[in-house]
Order: sequence, then C-alpha cells, then structure tokens
Amino acid sequence: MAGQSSIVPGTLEMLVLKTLSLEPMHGWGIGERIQQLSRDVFAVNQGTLYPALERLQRDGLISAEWRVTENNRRARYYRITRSGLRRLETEREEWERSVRAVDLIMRTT
Amino acid sequence: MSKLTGWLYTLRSLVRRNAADREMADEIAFHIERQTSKNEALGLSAEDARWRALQEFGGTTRWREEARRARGSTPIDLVERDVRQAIRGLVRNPAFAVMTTLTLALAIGANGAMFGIVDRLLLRGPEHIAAPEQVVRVYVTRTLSNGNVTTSGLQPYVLYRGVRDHTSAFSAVAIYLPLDLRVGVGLDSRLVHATYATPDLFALANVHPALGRFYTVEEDLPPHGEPVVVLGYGYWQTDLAGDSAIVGKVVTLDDRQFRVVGVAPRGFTGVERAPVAAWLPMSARPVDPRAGDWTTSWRPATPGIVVGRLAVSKVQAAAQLTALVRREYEGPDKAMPTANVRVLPISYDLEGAEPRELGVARLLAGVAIVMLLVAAANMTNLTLARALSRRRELGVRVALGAGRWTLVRLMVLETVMISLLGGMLGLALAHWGGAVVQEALLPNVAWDELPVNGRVLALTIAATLLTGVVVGLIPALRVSGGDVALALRAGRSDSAGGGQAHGTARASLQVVQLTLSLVLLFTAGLFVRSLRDVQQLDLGYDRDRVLAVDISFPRPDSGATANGDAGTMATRARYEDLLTRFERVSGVASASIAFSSPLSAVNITKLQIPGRDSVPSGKDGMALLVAAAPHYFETVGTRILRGRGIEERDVSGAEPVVVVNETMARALWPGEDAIGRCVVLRVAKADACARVVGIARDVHQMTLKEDALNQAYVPWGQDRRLVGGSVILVRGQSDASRLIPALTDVVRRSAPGVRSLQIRSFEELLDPQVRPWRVGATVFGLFGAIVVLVAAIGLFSVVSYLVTQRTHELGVRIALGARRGQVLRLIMGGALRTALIGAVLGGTVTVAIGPALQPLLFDNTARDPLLLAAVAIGLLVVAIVASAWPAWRATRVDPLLALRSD
Repeated sequence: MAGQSSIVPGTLEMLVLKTLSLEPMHGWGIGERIQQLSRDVFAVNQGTLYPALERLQRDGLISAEWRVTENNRRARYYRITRSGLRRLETEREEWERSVRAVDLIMRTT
Repeated sequence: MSKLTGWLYTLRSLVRRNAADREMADEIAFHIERQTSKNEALGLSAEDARWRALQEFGGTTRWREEARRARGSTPIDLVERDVRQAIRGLVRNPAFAVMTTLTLALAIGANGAMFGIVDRLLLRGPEHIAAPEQVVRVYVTRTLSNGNVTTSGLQPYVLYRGVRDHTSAFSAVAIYLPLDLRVGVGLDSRLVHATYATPDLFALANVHPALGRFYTVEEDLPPHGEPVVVLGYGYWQTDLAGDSAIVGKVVTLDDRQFRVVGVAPRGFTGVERAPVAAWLPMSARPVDPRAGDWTTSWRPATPGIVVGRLAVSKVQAAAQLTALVRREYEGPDKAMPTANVRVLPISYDLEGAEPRELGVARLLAGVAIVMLLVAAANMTNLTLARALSRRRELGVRVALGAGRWTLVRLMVLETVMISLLGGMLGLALAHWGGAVVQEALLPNVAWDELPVNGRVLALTIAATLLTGVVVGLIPALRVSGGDVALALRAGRSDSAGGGQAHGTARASLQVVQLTLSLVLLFTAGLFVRSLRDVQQLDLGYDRDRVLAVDISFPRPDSGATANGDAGTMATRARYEDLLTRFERVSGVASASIAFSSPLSAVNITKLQIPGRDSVPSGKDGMALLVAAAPHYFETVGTRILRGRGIEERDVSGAEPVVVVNETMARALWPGEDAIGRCVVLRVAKADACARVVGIARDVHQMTLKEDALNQAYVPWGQDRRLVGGSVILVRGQSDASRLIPALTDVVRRSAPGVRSLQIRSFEELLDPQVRPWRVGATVFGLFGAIVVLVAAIGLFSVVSYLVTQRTHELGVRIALGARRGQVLRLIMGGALRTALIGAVLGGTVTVAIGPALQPLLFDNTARDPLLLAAVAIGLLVVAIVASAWPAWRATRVDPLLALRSD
C-alpha cells in the first residue's frame, strides 16, 4: 500500500492510550483504529502492539478484561485507567511542544 | 506507586504464568482471525487471507515472546522454559546424556577424591598448624667414614636445648617423641598413640586447650617431669565419653599414673598427622639411670624430633644450627664435627626424604586432572557431534526467530545440566572412593573429616560448572555461527567445512585416552606383580600359619627383683605353663617360645671363636641372637639344613649349644663343616663356648628387603637375660588367625594377672611393609579401570555418533549391495586403528617412564614386555567391544528408511 508508513518511533504507546481514551477496545481494533484515525497514513506493525499493551498494563496505565464481541467471540478488551489518562495528558503536551520545536527549526530559512 | 503496581503485575503474571500465556495465545488467535476476515472482505481467498494476516502480524511466536518479556516475567520464565527444553533435548537422546554423565561422574569423582587427599597432605598441612610452610624439622646429615651419607631426624635433647637457648633461628622450637603407650591395665589394656613433647609445641602451633590447660614448662623440667597428661580430643570423646569432669582424674599409661590437666583441641595432632591420644611432658619419660644423663648426652637412648617455626630464612637457620652442632658436640662420633644441619618441611619422613605416599598421591592427582580434561574433551566432542547432527533443527529454530544467544544458551544449559548431574554422581563416587583411597594410602593420618569436605565440594562444583559451560560453549558458538540457510539445505550430513579437521581432533583425543589407559593399566600391573612377588617372597619362615603371642607378665615382687634368678625362673615358669596350655588347644600344630623371634625384635651379639686371634671385623663379628625353645624351627617353619634344632635336652645347665644360619656357617667357617665347631657368644656367660649342632636356613629378621646376617639360635632359658620380653609362637594346623579367640581365652583363665596381651600373625606383623605395594596395586588398578571405562565410553559414543551421522551414506552403500561384513569393517576399522595407535604410543610411554617407576617396585623390572602385551591386547578387546555394538547397529540400517529420512 503506497503512501503508508510506520508510526513515528516512540509514539506507539501514546497513540494506544489516545485510542483507548475514546472507548475500550481489543488489540486488533486498536491497530485498526490508529490506521483509520490517521487516514491510512500510519500502518501499525501488528505484532508490536501486544508487547506495548503488556507494558502499559504493567505500568498500570490500562487494564484489561475478557468480553464478548458483537460477533459473539471472546476477546480481551483494554480500558484506559485514571493514571493512563494523566499520562496521556503529559505525553500530549510533551508531543505538542516537540512538534512546535521541530516546526520552528524547519521553518527557519 | 507505579513501581509497586509494576511488581504486583509481574508477580501476578508469574503466579498465573500458564494462564497468562494461554490468554496471550487466545488474544493473538483472535487478532489473526479478525485480520483474516478483513483480508477476505478485501477479496482474498480464505487461505491467502489467513496467510496474509500471519505475515502482517510478523511471527506469532516472536511477538508472544516479546509480550511475555514486556510482562516482566522473563528471567524466571526463561530459565524454567530453557531447563524444560534442555531436559526434553536430553531425554530425546538418552544415550548421549547417560554416556556423558557417566564419563564426567567418573572423572569428577576421581578428582574430588584425590583433591581431598592432596589438599590435606600438600596444601593445608596438619590441622591447627598455621602457616605450615614456616614450620620445619631439624635433620642432621653426616658423612660416615665409608663415604655413606646418612640423614636423621632424631635428635638428642641437648641439641634442642642448644637451638632454643643459643640460636635465633626459630621463633618457637620444640622437641617431641611419638610412640605407642599401653593404656589401662591387664587384658583390657590396649595400645594408643601418644606423644612426649615439650610444652613449646603447643606454643609453636598456637593452639588453646579444649578443656583445662596444657602442661607448663615447670611441669616439664628435666630430668624428671611431672606425671601429667593432656588428652587428645578424639580419645577423650571415644574412650572417656567426653567426660567434662576429666581434669584432675588419673589415667594409667604404661603402668604409670598420669593426672589429666587438660584436653587438646579437636583434631590437633601436633606437626605429625596420626591422631594422638595423650600428650605427655618430654621429661616425664621413664629413663634408665644407667644410660646417663639424657639431657646432656649426644647419644641418648630415646632421642626426639626437633621442630621449629622459622624466624629467619631456611638457609640462615641451617647455617646457625650447623655451627651450633659442630661447636657443641661432645662424643666419639668422628662424623659429627663435619655434620651439616638441614631444615626440611614437616611432611618429610625421619630420613629426610619425601614420603612415598606423597609422591603417589601427587602422581594420582595429576592423573585425575588429565582424566578430567580428557572427559571434558570427550564431552565437547560428543556435544559438537550432536550439535552438528542437529544443525537442521537449530536452523529451523533460527528461522522461527530464535536469536543466536538463545541457541547458545540452550546448548550450554544442556551441557551444564549434564555436568551438574555428573558432578553429583561424581561427588558420591568421591565420597566413597576417597574413603577407600585414604584408608589404603595413608591409614595413619588423622582424617578429621569426610573425604568430601567443604573445599572439595567447592572445587568440584566450580570444576563442574566450568566444564559444563566450556563444553557447551565451544560447539554452540561454532554451530550457531553458521549460515542458517546453508544449514537448512545441508540436511543431516556433517557440514563439509571443518568436518575433516574435527574428525582428526576426535581421533587424536581417543588416542590420548587409550594411551593414558594403557600406561595406567601397565603401572597397575607392575604393582600387582610387585605385590604378588612380595606375598610369595620366601622369608625363611611361614607367614600365614604362625601367631606371635606377645605377653607381658606382672613385675616380680620386690623380693624376686632383688634375687634376679628367682624372678627369671618365675617368669620362665609362666611362659612354659602357658606354652603347655596352648599346645593343648585344638587346631594348634605346635608351639614354642623365643626371645627376639622374627618381626618382633633384633638382638645383636658379638662373636668370638676360640683359637682365632682376631675378632672378625664388621658384620662378620656380629650375629643376631635368638633364644629359642624346643620345636621352635618346626613352629615358625624354618628348615634345618644340617644337624638338629634346639631340643628338650638343651635345658639350662646342659652343654651350651648353638644353631647357626647358613650365612654364619659360611662366614665363619668358609669351606668347612660348621657342625661341631665352637663359638663364643659374648652375651652369654663369659668364656662359655657353644658347640654348633645345626645349620638353619637364612630368614628375614625384620624386613622384606634385607641382606642375610649372621644368626645364632641358643636354647631358650639358658641365659636369664633372654627370657623377659619373649614371645610364644603358635603354629596353626590351618589358618592360624582363627586360633586367636581360643588362645586369648586360655590366657584369661590361666594367667589372670597378665599386664598386656597381643596376638598377631606374622602376616599382620608384615603388613605395614606389604602395604605400599598393595596400595599401588589397588589405587592404580582403580584409576586404570576408571580411565579404561572413560575411554571405552568415549569410543562407544563417538562410534555411535559416527554411525548416526553416516546413516545416509551407509544406507546408500547397503542399497548398492555392501555386505554386512564390509559395513562392520568400515565402522570398526577406525576404532581399531585408534586403539592400535594408542597401544603403540602407550607402550612407548611406559618404556620412557620405566626408570621413574623402578624405585616404586619390588625387585621386578619396570620393563615387562609380556605384561605390556597383555595390557595392550586387553585394550584392543575393550576397543572392539566398545565399537561392536554401534557397528552392528550400522549393519542393520534399512536403506529405504535411511534414504527417505532426508
């Protein structure tokens, strides 16, 4: 698929948190949603998602539970926790600051 | 906070690890399912859609792995999984596991056992002696008038005092004298090992008593010290039940009463290694007033051993002491003013030589290390062979995403597990074998602890782990370094690169093992021959049929002492009474009495022959004098060559007669008939000339290796000085040692006042002399057997692997019509060639080391072609047997299966 690229290194966990702040979601759905929200610009390397999810769980930023999908299939749904929301907020600020900084540099003529 | 939750999460996932793994698998399966249906929706076929989904995911195993690591459970998880995988790998190939474990166990066992001994003898020195390398014994070396050089570790007290008071060579110096004392009274008394020592021995060792105190310098003031005793810890524990109120009590040693002042610390043996039951003041020894002042004499009746802790260098100490001896010596010995004093390590014996056992122990330790190296190399080889045959499996693992590190870890884990298993088994062997070797090699050493002590354990574990890691690492790095794709394509066959070189290395390793086996077995064979020669050596008497009853009667009362003859008569009557009672015991063939019979004592007398002006000089003018009762010669089994032996008619008062041995007959009356001649034995009453009535065979009086000396037998009881201290000799109709209980019983019933009783067979009395050869035969035999076993296992497993690896080739050969015999030859040929080269090399080595072995042997030569041939043939048979089974298996290769397997 031309025009697709991998997500910016180091941002996967922030993107996952953002996705989950919208609604609880299972692993596959998170990947799909990121791709969708980025208008197909980002393709998540699907395998990398699961270690990231484990890390976030370990840090207590998300929690997981088994639920039944609309197709009557068991799936693990992830939900963002309160500290996850806080983390998302700081990451967002951090991100915006660095984007502005990069922007400033790039605009300098 | 978040750290805590992190731990909790990790902990939780550890506890429910399996559940977590399952959930992860479910989750990924769900993911693939969804992706597949998405791909299907895009218009792919069901199969393509799934394949595409898997590809997009990028290796389910890998990400599952990554996720698990992210969960934080990895370290423990990995170990458990790896261990399980390693076990699976080993179980899949039990032959490999069993062979390598066994080989390693034997090698590690041998090393553990030998290290325990070498550690005690060479590395640590006696218990409680700090810095034993600074503690030395004092030896005096003299050059005699005939040019011989003699070294002695027995010194007079006066030398000790001189060293102590007039030199600065030692920071502490002591003199001591180890000997056996009889403890207790009567038939229940027994001999224990004791030591007379000056109290500075305790200071030199810097030990503190376990109970009470040590005796003081004031209690050890010459010439008559106080009768006090410090008990050995072991003796106190076993014989006195660790009586905590022992201090102040009295123990009887050699019929003298000693007051206990303390108990030595546990395991303290002074600078010797034999356990000591009692420590007594040096000047508490019974002294014979006729021998003069023992504290000033340079030739006292009982000298001691001088030991000191160096304050200066060895050279300086020796120089100071030499000057002292040359300056202070007073006496007739012309060699003393030029004598040299040497200071030598306390491990040396009284002749100033390194004890033979030490040399043997060191040799064996060397062999053990070589054996471990060989076993490790063997195992490396096998692991490499196995790794090569697993190349495809490993390639598949790499393709599936296993990193190189993972593979290496896995293979090393396998070998470490094997070596740990082997190490455990080896420790058991070391424990059992170490006890055997200790007992055989050095029965008189105080082995304070089990053969496997902490140090042995630590060393063994270290050696085990090191072996495991090295043995696994080399093949793992070699194999995992290769190109995966190449490995996959290469299939089962050994990779071409390095295969040849590896084969050569393998073969040379086998050769080394077989060479070592041959040398050890040959050495063992030499010792066995020595042992047999020693056991069959004709000593001039029967050693297995004769008992020596060493008995000491109560001292005659004071009246009898005053009248010497009456006392002797009483003692003589007691001997004769017991003799007649012994003769009546069933199973006794004959019995007699002798003063200084073989193996009990040496009594030398000067000779004179009436009518000859000069006393024969040197050993011709001396004879060993034995007083023998009737039936003596038939009892001990010494043949009378001419004339007669001592008979009933030769009682006291009758004509003095003497039986001489061949050597004496030849020396005094060369070319003439000795019978009827007359000789004056200076020990007997002056001028009485004894008529020679018989000539007896030469015997070995005290040792296995001795030149025959003049020997004269006079009737027992004629000379009252040759009565007290006699032994009763009893000849059994068959095995004499079975008579011991009956004889003891006779003594108990008929001679209740007996002070001590010891009944030993000639065999037993000889035993300490036979032991070195028995030890050599036992220990070298044991080691030889182990090395042969290791070599055989190595050969067997290597041939097995070769067969496995060449299954394909063999299949082709068989398919093309190779006959069974040809296949057999193909496989066994290599093994036999290896064995032959090993035999030839081993033979060369035995010839080379022959001169070094010679002094360890008894009379037989170290070059023994017949023995060498026998050992070589034995080894070839072992090689054939070891390779026969795998070779036979090779002939059973089903060509169809072999070809299809690839």
